[in-house]
Amino acid sequence: MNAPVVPSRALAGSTLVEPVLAVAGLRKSFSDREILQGLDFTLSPGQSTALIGANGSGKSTLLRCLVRLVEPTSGRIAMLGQDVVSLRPRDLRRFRAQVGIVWQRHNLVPRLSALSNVIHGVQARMSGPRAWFQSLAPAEVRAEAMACLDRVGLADRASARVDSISGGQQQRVAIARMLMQRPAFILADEPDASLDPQTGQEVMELLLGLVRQDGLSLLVISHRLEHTLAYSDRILGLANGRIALDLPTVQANAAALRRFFDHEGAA
Amino acid sequence: MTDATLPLPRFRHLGLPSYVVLLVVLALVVSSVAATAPSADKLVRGITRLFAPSGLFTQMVPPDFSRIEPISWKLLETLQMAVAGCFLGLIFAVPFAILATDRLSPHPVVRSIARAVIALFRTVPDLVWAIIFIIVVGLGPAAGVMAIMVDKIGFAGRFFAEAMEETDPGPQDALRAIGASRLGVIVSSVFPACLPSFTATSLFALEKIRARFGRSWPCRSGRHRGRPQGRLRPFQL
Repeated sequence: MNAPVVPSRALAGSTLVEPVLAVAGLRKSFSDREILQGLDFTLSPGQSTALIGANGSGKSTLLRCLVRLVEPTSGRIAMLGQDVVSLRPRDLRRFRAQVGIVWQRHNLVPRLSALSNVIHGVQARMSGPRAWFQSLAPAEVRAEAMACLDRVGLADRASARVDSISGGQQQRVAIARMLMQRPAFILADEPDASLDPQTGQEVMELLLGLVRQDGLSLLVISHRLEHTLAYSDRILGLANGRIALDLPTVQANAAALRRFFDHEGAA
Repeated sequence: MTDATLPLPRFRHLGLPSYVVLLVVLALVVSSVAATAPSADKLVRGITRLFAPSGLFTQMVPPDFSRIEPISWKLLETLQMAVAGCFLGLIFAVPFAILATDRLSPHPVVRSIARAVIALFRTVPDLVWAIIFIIVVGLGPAAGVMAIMVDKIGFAGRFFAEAMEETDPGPQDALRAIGASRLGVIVSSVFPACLPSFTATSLFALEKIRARFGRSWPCRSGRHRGRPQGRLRPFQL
């Protein structure tokens, strides 16, 4: 695990420390449509940043571009000290291992147990059969996976098939898998979207806990304004493929964010 | 009721070309059935002949067990060939299927070649494969095993590939995003998702062999022994 760091609520866009993510002139086009139209922003380490915007504004595309699950058309991405765009396949694999992604749809392997799914996270640093299934994993990997499941409160469901547990529990297993990666940066694409309000809040608290207690950096997409305000240090608003809003969360309020959504949604 | 609230028409209006195509297909079906299907009286006479004193079914009862021992050994050998050929074919079908899958194949050229090989294995009849392998390894069980294996690679390769294409790409993307290797993604995400389909296809592949094995059995049993005798082969129809 990363060394525990308890960062203070960092200032939005602070340049006093080396940014954990620096994006410059990022563009992405699909056929004749330009989804991202030249994004420029930096993120400081140990911060939770919320990315908001109307549907189709390019939020998910941006997240995928950051780890090159979608190849950017042009622009620069420097994350965790690496020039992401120029990474070769082998180096890209090593880089991705440091970035944990929490997906909206969990993306767990349904027929496998929670423990096997969590152990898949170790494929970030270990290959071969030992990282494929819990039955083949070494004792120390199993113990670490159990610790990750315990951290998300699911140690007692380790042997349950993930398609037999609730949506909230599946999202927790996905977070445990991400913890197993030992990431330095977390990207979360609407982790609260398919969950009820209470479970969504618990998942967001869990993610913020990783920022506050482990010093990880978080970039999270959420459509729930109350979560955006409660679980972020900084808010970035994306509209028509551009950064249209950038302010510290302490300066934001629900009415202003709602106005942003109304205005950009109508645009 | 205004026009806007009228329900959609039940059937889409067809143009003249569509009607012509429909008529041609219909004519083809009717003429094919009329030209090849047996007449009712011919069918009845044929079935009656089966049960006549000199008919096939009457001759088969009671069965003649005088040659049961050598036949049993050959049947066992045939079964072993079927199981061995099927097992090897299913095993080798997996890499072919992976290479033939859009998402998992390393390169479009490799995918096209793998698909072409699977199509070739499926298209060439197993009897032809048997002849080819008799030339390669000589007369004996090995030729049968090889023929069945190739047949199963073609059969299961296609079904395995289709099953892998139909899996949810989400878990695979998630593992790829973690930094998992291609093999890691396949084994830890694709295979578990495809397991029910793989099992069903494998059992069906074995079932196909059992059916063929069953078809060769009447040639060996009862009084129906006037037929040319030879070594039993699953592809001996």
